Amino acid sequence: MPSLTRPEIREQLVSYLCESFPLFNPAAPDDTPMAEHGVDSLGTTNIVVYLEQHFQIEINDTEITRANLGSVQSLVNFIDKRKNA
Amino acid sequence: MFTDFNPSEEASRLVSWLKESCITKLKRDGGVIGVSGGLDSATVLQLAVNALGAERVIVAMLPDRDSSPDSAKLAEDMASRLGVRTVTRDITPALGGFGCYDARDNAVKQAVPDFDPVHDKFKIVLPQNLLEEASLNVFSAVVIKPDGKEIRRRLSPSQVNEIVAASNLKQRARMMTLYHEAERRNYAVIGTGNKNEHDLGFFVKYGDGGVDIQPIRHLFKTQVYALAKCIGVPDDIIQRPPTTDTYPADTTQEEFFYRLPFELLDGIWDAFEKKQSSEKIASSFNLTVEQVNNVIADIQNKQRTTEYLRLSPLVP
Repeated sequence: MPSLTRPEIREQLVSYLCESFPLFNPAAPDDTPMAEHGVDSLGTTNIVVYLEQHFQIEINDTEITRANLGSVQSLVNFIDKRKNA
Repeated sequence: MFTDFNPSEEASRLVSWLKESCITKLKRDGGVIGVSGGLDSATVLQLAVNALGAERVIVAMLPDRDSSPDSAKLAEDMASRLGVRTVTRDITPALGGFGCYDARDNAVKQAVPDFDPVHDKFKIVLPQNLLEEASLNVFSAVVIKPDGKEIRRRLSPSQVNEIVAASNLKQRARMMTLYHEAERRNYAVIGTGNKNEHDLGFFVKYGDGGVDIQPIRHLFKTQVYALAKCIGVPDDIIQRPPTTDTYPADTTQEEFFYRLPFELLDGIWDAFEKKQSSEKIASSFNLTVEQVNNVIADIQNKQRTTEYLRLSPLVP
């Protein structure tokens, strides 16, 4: 996958979250905790699977943290870092 | 910690409450308790005997093929010491009939193709670095080969669902058996869940959560320890690490679900419920504010995501 800009990453991510999580609110601020979007532990695992497949990255268990996956903002930061660093 | 908790007074209060609830309110002639050899069921058993008398209490031991033999021995010893009647039902054939083991083992095999259900053991675990990192709850399967070699793989959501659904058949089979033993005697089913299990969702809806009364549901695990010591639960039960007794490999409740020693988890949780600031809690437990916030976030997350388990059926 060619490198993506941050807005492109965000757009693809939000599209996936809207599709996969009925309680996801795209109008909420990007730093809203994913738990407030109704994402539980299985939801987190789904997001990890999506990120690995869609963005073609490998995610270690030690990277599955609130700092990396805890909100839309942290997800965009994490993918941007992994794809474009 | 828990300076406002007096185990002796609480034991007296619970004994009266149990008698009133079981006999007067529910109009049952006694109680049936599923006893595993663990702390919670031993504590509830002792309370029930004190409240109802040994002759009105039945200990049900309901092992399956994954249960530790130590569990049965501890449960039998305690029942014998108290002079209560016991009923033992091996639920393995029923679970085999439900397809429990095949469904669960196939899901583990999907994650770890090298898994051999006949010779290997396995357990399900969460990351254990809760204090150090704000790690999220993602389950992994750990397969243990006969030579001790461990293979750890992250589970996909569908694999987690398969394993959990299959494993929950155990608690539901036990619930059915407990009600069978209770109804044939006009007894109540007495539950053994504590506050940690109930509030954080570490129980099976209509499984171990399917009971008539729950005498220790309001108590932190640490308080159950104090209560157990006060009412004379044997030391070998008190000192045994709490396990899930659900998977073939020994799995502590800490590695499967809670991610912290109970003393620390309960202390932080209790202080948080009493509206203490993260700074004050951190200072009391010699932790950083960030570590305390990680623990509180994990507690709140578990409470939020398991709310469904505590709800009664919805009606329009």
